[in-house]
Amino acid sequence: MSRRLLVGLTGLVAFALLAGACAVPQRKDTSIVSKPAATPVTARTIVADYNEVRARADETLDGSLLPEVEGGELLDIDQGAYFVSVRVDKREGYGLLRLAPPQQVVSPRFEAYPMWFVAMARDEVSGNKRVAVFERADSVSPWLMTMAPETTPGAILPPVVTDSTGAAVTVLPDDDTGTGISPAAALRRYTGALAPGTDVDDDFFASDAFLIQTRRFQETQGSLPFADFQQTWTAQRPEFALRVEGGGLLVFGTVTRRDSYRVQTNSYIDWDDNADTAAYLPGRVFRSADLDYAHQLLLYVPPAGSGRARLIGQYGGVVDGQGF
Amino acid sequence: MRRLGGIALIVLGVLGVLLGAALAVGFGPDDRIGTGPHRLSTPGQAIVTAPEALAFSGPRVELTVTSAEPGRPLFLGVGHDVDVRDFLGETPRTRIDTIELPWRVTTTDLPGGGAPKGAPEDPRWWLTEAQGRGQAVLTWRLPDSAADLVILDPDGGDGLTVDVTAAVLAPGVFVVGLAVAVLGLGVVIFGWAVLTTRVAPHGLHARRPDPPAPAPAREPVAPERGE
Repeated sequence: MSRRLLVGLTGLVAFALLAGACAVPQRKDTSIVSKPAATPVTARTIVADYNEVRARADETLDGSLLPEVEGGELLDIDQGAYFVSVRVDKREGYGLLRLAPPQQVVSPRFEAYPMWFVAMARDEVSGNKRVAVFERADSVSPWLMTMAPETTPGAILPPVVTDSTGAAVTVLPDDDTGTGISPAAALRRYTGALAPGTDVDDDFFASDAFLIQTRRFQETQGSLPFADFQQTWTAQRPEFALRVEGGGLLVFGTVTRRDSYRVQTNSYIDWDDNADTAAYLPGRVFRSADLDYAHQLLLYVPPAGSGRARLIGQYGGVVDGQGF
Repeated sequence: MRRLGGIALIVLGVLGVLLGAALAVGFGPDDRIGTGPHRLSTPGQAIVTAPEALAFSGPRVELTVTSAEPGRPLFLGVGHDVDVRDFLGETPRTRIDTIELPWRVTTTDLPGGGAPKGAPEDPRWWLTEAQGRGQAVLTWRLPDSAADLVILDPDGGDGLTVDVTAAVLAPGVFVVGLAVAVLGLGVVIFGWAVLTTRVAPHGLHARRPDPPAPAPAREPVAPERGE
């Protein structure tokens, strides 16, 4: 009896001491002065905020609302889509986007602004997925979606490498460690494969629908009997790249494209059955026309010597045009 | 062995009494232990702690800040160091580099030519915030991340003097302290009893007697008739 009482009393006192110890402040490591751009919870809120503004903009096809939630070339593409939709009076199927709560959030850590993170979410309008990059320029600016390559409904991102805090590991534009090709060089190489001419047989990238569609378009436009067609592609510097497990890369990049037509004498071009161009170039073009496009790409680059790079997602559209 | 157990119980009990009494006396019936008011001032627009100054996490803290100028608007906010640094930018301010309790602070005046990037109540990244005229009270749990406390006049203007009272809140700690002290006292008494009670040597009367042998079976006896 006395032994049991002894054990019980000892346990009680030990519990009280432990409970007291829990209230004691814990010293924390103040040398880590960085923060993840977003947690899954904050990313969900940011996507919800985006949807709210986007729904208002979609309702009225009012591109002036989009700068509240979008930036960079994505803003140009979506405002272009609204412009096309209004001009050709086809309100359905242009630009509409409604993101479901993110299925995956990938966030690096930052010691200062600007900061960014990636959210992969299903588009409830099209059923496809968007791999969106949200950026925040400073502590008082809103989160803006600046990239949103579109992928198939079943697309899955390769697992991203994380550091000891769970934050995604980023890769600088010119870092070719492990892959033998930097994000900037990979984007330039894909751009080279898109451009007509010399690099069309480059097999660094696996063939994809965007490449095939682009080459087919180049062939049809190049065979026009009444106009000379030229297409040029330019890669912007990719600011967002992530290291994936196994040593590969995920590269977000924007490429711009210009389609130029020089109309032969006594001829004209009429784009009445092509909605995008008809919006920017209504009526007939008798001398020349230039159409500018922006495309946002998500590329996977494998470790050096282990397969071909491939396009995971793409989203783009016409952003400007002039002709006379 | 018994003697050792008794001494251990007494030591444990005394520790319990001391700890419980310290908790109960330190925190008091309002379950808080505090320091202040202490005067802080800046020639700039804000008073801000460095991450090293709030080097602990866990406890719930209440901060009462009173402006030396009655009725002056005050904003108190706690945010991640990355957000606070960016928000204040080049705002001239006084940084509290270290805080040693009960109260000793080291500060650095940071000159600058700017102002906060916006109204302090607008950002959504504040972990907690409070406002008031003449006085503001902020209660929050010290976070694990590198956090800064900001004290400023949301209307701006150079020069700010405030009196700061800080308290650690621990709801129920007074009762727990009393309970631990009483329990410790009980353990001391019990330990003393264990130490001083004499116990008969093993085997003298603690031994159980052998069970009685079973009685031999008997044939039932017919009752005799009356004599």
